[in-house]
Amino acid sequence: MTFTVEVTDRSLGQVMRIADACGAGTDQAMSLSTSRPASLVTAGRADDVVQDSDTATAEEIELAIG
Amino acid sequence: MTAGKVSAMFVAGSFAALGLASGTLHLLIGAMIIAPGFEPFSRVALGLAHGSRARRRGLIDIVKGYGALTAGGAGGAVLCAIFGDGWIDAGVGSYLPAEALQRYFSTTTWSSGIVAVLGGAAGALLLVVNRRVLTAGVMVALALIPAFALTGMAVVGGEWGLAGRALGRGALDAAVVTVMSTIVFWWHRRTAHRRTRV
Repeated sequence: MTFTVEVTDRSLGQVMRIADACGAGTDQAMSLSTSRPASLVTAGRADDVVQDSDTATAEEIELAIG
Repeated sequence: MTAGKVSAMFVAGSFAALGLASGTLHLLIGAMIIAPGFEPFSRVALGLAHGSRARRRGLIDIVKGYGALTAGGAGGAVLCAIFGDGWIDAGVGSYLPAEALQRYFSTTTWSSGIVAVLGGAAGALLLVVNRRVLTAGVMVALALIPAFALTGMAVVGGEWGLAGRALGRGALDAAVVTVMSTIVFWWHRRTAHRRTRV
């Protein structure tokens, strides 16, 4: 089963903390990846994306410098 | 560090050696940009700040990457010995005296220490804000690539004093960059990450 959650960078930390509490990284049946859209067409929340923070998660940093 | 990145470090070392031996600054800058030399230290720093396995992998990457870079520098010195006027003299005229670059990158000053402090912090901040590609600019500011390449050149040329000074300059940059990056990652963990484990 696959779930897709779309959040801004500002909220990503909270999502990662929830995933952490649910066993991501220790539960063999669970994997989690993050990605960034190359473009976005939306009627709402566009300002949220434009004004979003650009903070990476620790996992993104670690993968980036691998 | 993958074989491709290790190879890039070796090639960068050779570029840097030829730049140092011929007094050609743009060759040095090219070497600084193509070498993925910031990543190993930032990996160690990330591991220290987060208590993760990244620390051990970073140390291995430092040995592999900077070993390849130093070997590349030695390879460049061999080319200079064959085609030029000596191990650390390419024997070709350029817009800078060759010894000017060698002297600069084997000398530690207060300003080089400040640059290392700022560079270490800037590089880690760029990773935190997902601007990894811009760390090439940090590598241009730091002396890591030319200092370690010069170490390799000086070792094969038997210039032990020069090798020691260049290694000292590179080691200082490496240590300061690691400390500053650790501070930035620790701060990021406290303010944005806020998780007990990674």
